[in-house]
Amino acid sequence: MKTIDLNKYVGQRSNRIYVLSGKDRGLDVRNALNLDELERIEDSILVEVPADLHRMTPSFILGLFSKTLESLSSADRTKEEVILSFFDKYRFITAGAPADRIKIQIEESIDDFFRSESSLSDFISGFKK
Amino acid sequence: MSEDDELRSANKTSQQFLASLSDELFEEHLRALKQRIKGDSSSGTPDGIRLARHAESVVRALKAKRKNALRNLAVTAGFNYKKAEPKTSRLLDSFFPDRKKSGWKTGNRKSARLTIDRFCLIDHPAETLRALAQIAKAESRNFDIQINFEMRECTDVAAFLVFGLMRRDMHPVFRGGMITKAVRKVLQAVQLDNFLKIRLNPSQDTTDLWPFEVRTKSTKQEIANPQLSPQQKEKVAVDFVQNVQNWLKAATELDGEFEQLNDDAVSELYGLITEILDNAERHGSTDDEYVGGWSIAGFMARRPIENSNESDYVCHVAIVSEGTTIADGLENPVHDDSRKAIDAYLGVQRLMAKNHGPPELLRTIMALQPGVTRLQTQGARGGTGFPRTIQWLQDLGGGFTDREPQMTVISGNCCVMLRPPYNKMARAPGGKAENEYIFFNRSNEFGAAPDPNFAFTLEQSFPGAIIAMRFRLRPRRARTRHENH
Repeated sequence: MKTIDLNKYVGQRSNRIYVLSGKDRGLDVRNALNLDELERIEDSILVEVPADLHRMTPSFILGLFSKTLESLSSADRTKEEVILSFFDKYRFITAGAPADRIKIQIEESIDDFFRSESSLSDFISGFKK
Repeated sequence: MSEDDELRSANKTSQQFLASLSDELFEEHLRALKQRIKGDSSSGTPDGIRLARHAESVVRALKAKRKNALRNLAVTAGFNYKKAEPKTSRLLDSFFPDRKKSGWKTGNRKSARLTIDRFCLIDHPAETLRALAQIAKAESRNFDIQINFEMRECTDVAAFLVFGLMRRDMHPVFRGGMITKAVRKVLQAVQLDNFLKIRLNPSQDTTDLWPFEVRTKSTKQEIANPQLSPQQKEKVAVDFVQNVQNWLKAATELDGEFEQLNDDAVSELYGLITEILDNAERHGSTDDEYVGGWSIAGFMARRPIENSNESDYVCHVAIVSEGTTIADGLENPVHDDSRKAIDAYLGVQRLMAKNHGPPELLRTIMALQPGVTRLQTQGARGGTGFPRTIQWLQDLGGGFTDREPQMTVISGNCCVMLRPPYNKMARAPGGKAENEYIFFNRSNEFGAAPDPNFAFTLEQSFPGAIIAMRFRLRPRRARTRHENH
């Protein structure tokens, strides 16, 4: 199983940050890690998450993984199935332990991936439930 | 002292003093001098006539001395209107559209003195922008400018951030002025004096003030640079969270009743600040090659509550981004559903609402609604920045009956003021239960016109977006969003 390390994107010492943000940054990190190629050849990828990372913003997560989610999605798969497949493909750890906080943030973002348009549907229906 | 002695003394008035007077004050100074001498000189006696001539010659000498002093002042500042061209500035052009028209090189520029007693975009957006426009105009038409800030206290830093951005693009035309002690204290603590390029007498008093020093990002970072190392917006978010924690800690140490942010709240705040600044960079740019620039600053002040032993801990935060206005950004959104939603809102307002305001105002209101975004982000649910900011303000500072959080958003010539009764996202009639909106009308109806006291257009236009907020820390509770649900 291949391991990718997110520690190199959060700086060190006084330059240390506890948040990864922005869709463009997510895409840049995806490209730097060559995830397109890794996903093709690896069954599972281990992601080393910085222990002090507090937040991956939804835009960063979706910049980093929206291509993965697209490839895992299909008309006959439910959201839950896609989430299961995603966490089969990617395992998130923090110094050996599961990275719970980041996993929850990723789950929320995947949830957003599937309901991205729901909040606009009220407008489109003219606020008629 | 005899009249002759007085005239001799007046003749010795220093150049520095004369240069520090505005035109009006100088005229007043001369008038007072003439009045004191006039008694005898108008008598028609030889002595009176001599005195009158003496007085006239002193007045002429003082005028010449002042003119010379002002000329030297301008030369010292390295600025000569006749040789210099106005600097390129979208901001100044926007505040004074005639800036580059004839008048810049006019020979009869006079000194300007502006007195500003309201400089707060949160509470007085129209008046404050008018004052900023006056400053832009004065650079263009006056010889020099003296500004007196006479506010009793500083209630907003956004106005000073905008002023600082103007200063960046202005020639060195300022000639001193007065700033009240309370405002000076904030400007120095937040390091806005450097940003504004002004020198202030050092304030020794730093009590009851906790600054979040100004941070800025210029528009010069090229979009093409891959973002692999920590970004400035992320570092600012880390500093900001640290500051809010310090504010809560300071309030707790002094009054012992304030909870700290828990892990969820910290995560939320990191995400919120980076998202707002990320939006400024992505949406603010008017140029395809560069990111949009932004500035952020804030402070917490401890203010005693009248007739009480308690204090209010009042936090002020301002984020200013230059570039595209919110309404322009949403005029042709790439995002399909956002476009449909905006069209639906504009359509229903035209059809059903009277006095609904111009389309740019309605588009600005739409920017506050969840899910509305300019850019198509594959899979990402954009348009969450404003709703989350509104929620965060409520979480941290909501719950006071008479002192609810306030936020003013200004973009282009549009202004929306979030404050009671329009300070929260809420369900809208006919909308799904899980969705919340803010339409600035009593029943929060999609089809009703926004209240013109809270959503309106301004005389001046700001080329970008200003978010200015103020909230009070709430004793005992600093709930997180997650705890609310």
